[in-house]
Amino acid sequence: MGAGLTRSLAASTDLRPLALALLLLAAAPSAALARQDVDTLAAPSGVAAQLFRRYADRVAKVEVVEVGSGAKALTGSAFFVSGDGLLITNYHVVARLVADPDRYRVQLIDHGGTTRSADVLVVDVVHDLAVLETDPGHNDGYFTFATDPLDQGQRLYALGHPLELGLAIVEGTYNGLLKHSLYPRIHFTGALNPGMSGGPTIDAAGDVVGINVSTDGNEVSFLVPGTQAALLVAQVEAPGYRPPDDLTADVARQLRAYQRTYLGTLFTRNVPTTELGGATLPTDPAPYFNCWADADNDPDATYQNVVHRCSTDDEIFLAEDHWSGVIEFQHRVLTAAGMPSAQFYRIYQRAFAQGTDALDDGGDDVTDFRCITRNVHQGGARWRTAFCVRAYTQLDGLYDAVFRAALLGRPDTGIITELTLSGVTYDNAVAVSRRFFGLVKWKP
Amino acid sequence: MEAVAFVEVLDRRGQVRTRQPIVELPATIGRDYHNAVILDDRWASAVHARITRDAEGRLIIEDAGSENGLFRAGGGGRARQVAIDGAAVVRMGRTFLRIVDPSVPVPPALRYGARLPGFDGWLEAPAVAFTAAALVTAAAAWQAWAGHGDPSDSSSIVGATVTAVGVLVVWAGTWAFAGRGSAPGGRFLGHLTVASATALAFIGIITGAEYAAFLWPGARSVGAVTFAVAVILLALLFAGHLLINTRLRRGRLLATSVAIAVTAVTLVALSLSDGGGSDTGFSSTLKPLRATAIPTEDASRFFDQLPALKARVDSLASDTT
Repeated sequence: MGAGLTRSLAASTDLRPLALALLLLAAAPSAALARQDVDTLAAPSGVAAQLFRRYADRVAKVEVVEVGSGAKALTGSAFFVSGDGLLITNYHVVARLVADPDRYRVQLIDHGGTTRSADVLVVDVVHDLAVLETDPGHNDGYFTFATDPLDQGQRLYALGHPLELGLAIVEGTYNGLLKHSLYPRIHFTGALNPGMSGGPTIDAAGDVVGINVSTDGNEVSFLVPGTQAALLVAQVEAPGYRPPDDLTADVARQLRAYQRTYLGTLFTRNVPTTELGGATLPTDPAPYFNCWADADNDPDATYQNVVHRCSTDDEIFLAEDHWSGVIEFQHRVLTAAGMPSAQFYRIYQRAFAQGTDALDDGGDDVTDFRCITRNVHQGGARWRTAFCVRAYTQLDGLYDAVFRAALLGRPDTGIITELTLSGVTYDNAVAVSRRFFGLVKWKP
Repeated sequence: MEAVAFVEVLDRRGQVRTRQPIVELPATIGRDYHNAVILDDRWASAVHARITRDAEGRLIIEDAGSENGLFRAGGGGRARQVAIDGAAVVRMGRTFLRIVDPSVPVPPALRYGARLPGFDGWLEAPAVAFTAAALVTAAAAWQAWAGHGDPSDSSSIVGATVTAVGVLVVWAGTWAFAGRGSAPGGRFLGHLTVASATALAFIGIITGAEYAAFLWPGARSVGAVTFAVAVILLALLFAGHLLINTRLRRGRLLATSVAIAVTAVTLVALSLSDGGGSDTGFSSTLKPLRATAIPTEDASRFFDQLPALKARVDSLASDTT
C-alpha cells in the first residue's frame, strides 16, 4: 500500500467504478508494486526523446520534508510556469505543509540536481493545484499552456519523478474528459506512477495540457486540465495580487464556494425518478452524477435486495484519510419472500443501522457525528428519518452530513434511502436533504 | 412437669440452635447464671427479659430493665413487652429468640408435594419455578430465531436455549449452594423462580425500551427510565435471593439489595461511558408495527429542527481544536 494512496471507502467500492490512487510517493514504497509499474513504462518515441531533452530542466522533484527528522515524508513533481520562480504542482503534494506549516517544509530538486527551498504561495483545493514560489535566481525556461482543443487519441507526454527513479517521460493518449464530475478531469491513457503527481503532461509542441493527478491502474490515468492551472497562474501574476495570509482559511473558503455551486440547484427541478418497491425515488439529478443498480437474483433467498446508487466522481483530497466533495445517494429496497416480519425487521434494522458508510474516517480533521432521529409522514407513507452531521475541525464552516430514511408500517417491505453530503455548509446540508426527501413518494 | 413455654435460640438464618422448655413462670432470660435461660451475648444484660403472664393471663415477654432493650424481630422500636400469642420472635442484645406457647397447636403436617405456606411456598412451587424458567428459555429462543436471517438454520436457536437453561441453573444453583442449611430442601426451586422472574422482567423492559425508542425517537427519558427500572429489578433480584437464604430484617435486606444493585449498575454505566460519546442520537430501531400505530410528525417539522443540531457539532469542533 505504501506507494500511492488508495481510497479507504472499502464499503462503497462494490458500485464504484473509479478507485483513484494519487500519484504521490509516500515513505516506504512497496517493492512489488514498484517493479510491476516500472515494466509498464512506455518506451519513449523519437518525439519523446526530443521533448525530454528540451524540457527536462523545467520539471523539478518536490520533496516534503519533516522538519524534526529532516527526512522526506513524500515526494511529487512540479514544473516552472514563469521566469520568476513560480511552479505548479498538486495540492495533495503539499497538503501536509498547508495543514501543518511548522512541521513540514518543501524543497525542490531540479534535473541538474540542485536543491532549493520553496514556499506554497496559493492553492486551488477543488482542482487539486498549488502554486509554489522559489528564489527567482534560476535561468531555466518555463512551460506555457496549450490553448487549442485536443483530439481524442492525440499523443501526449507526461513528465515526472516516478518512484524515486529520476525524471521520466511517459507517452500516452488523450481520451476526453471525465463524464461524471462537475469539474473537468482529463482521461489520459498512459502509465502514471507514484511520484509523478504535479508533473506536466505536454503535447508534441511542448505546451502543457494537463497536470498529472491520479490513476486507476492499467494505464487509466487522470490529469487536471492545464487551463485551470493557467487561470491560477494568471491570477497570481496579475498586478497587485496578494497571496492569502492563511492558506487553511483559504481552503475552507474555496470549499464553501465550491459546494455552493455544486448544490445550488441540486434536487430543485426536473429531477428524474425511479420506481422501486412501490416508491417513487429521485435518481440521476445532474449530468455529473453516475448511477448504478444491482439486485440479488437468488430464488432461494428469504428476502430480496435491490440497490440503486448515484454518486459524483468529484472527490477532493484534503488529507490522506480525509476526502471530501462527494455527493452520493442510495435507495435500498428489501422485500421479504415469505419471511416472518419479526425476522425480516431485524435484517431491515441492521441494514438501516449500517447505512452506506460512504464517508471517510476523517481522523482528527472531523468531529464525531451528532444526529436527530424522528418518525415522520411524507409522500403518503411513514418513515423513520435521521440526520447525522459532523463538523470539520480545521476548515471553518464545513460539515459532512448523512440523511437517512426508512419506510415504516410495511411488514414485508423496507425502503432505506440515504443521502451523503461531504464538505458542505450546515445550511446546505439541511436544505439539500429537505429537497431530496421531498422527492420521495409512496404509491400504495 | 409440663412446660408452659419454650425458648428457642435462633441462628442468623432463623434456624433453631437450642430449644429450652420453661416449666415455671415468671422465667428470666439474661447473661447471669441464675436465669432460666442463659445467653452468651455481651450485649445482653445480666437479667434482660422476663417471660410471664399479664393481667388477663396471656403469655408475654417483658423488658426486665435491660441496658439495650427488647425488640420485636422484623422491625419496630424498643418494646416494653411483647405478646407471645402462639409464638413470637424477639431480639435482645444480638440474640434472636423465639418464644413458643405449647398450648397453641402446631399446624398439620404437609403432604408430600404440597406447597409450603406463605410467599416462600409459592416461590418454591415446582410448577411456578419450571414455568418461569421455561418462559425465559422460550424468550431466549425467540430472540435467537428473530435475530438470524436463515430460518432453516436452527443451530443458533439451540445454542440460545442451552445457554439460557445453563445460566439459570448455574445462577440458581450457586445461590442454593451458598444458602445451604438455611432451610430444609426446595431452596433451589425458589432461587430458580427468583432468577427466572427477574430475567423475564429484564426481557420485558428491554423489549419495552426498544419499542419506546422506536415510537418516540426524540424522547431522552426512555434511556433514563430503562436505567431506573433496571436498577430496581436488580435490587429485587438480590432481595429475592437474600430473602430465601437469610433471615435478615426487611429494612436491612432492602438496603443491602439496593446497595448491590446501584454498585453493579454504576460500574456497568461507568465502563460503558468510558468509550465517550457513544450516544450520537441516531436510533436505528425499526419495529413491524402498523403504520397507524406509529406516531409521526410532518417531515417539514423534522427538517425545521435540524438547525438546532449545529450548535452541538460546533461545540465538538471547538473542543477538538
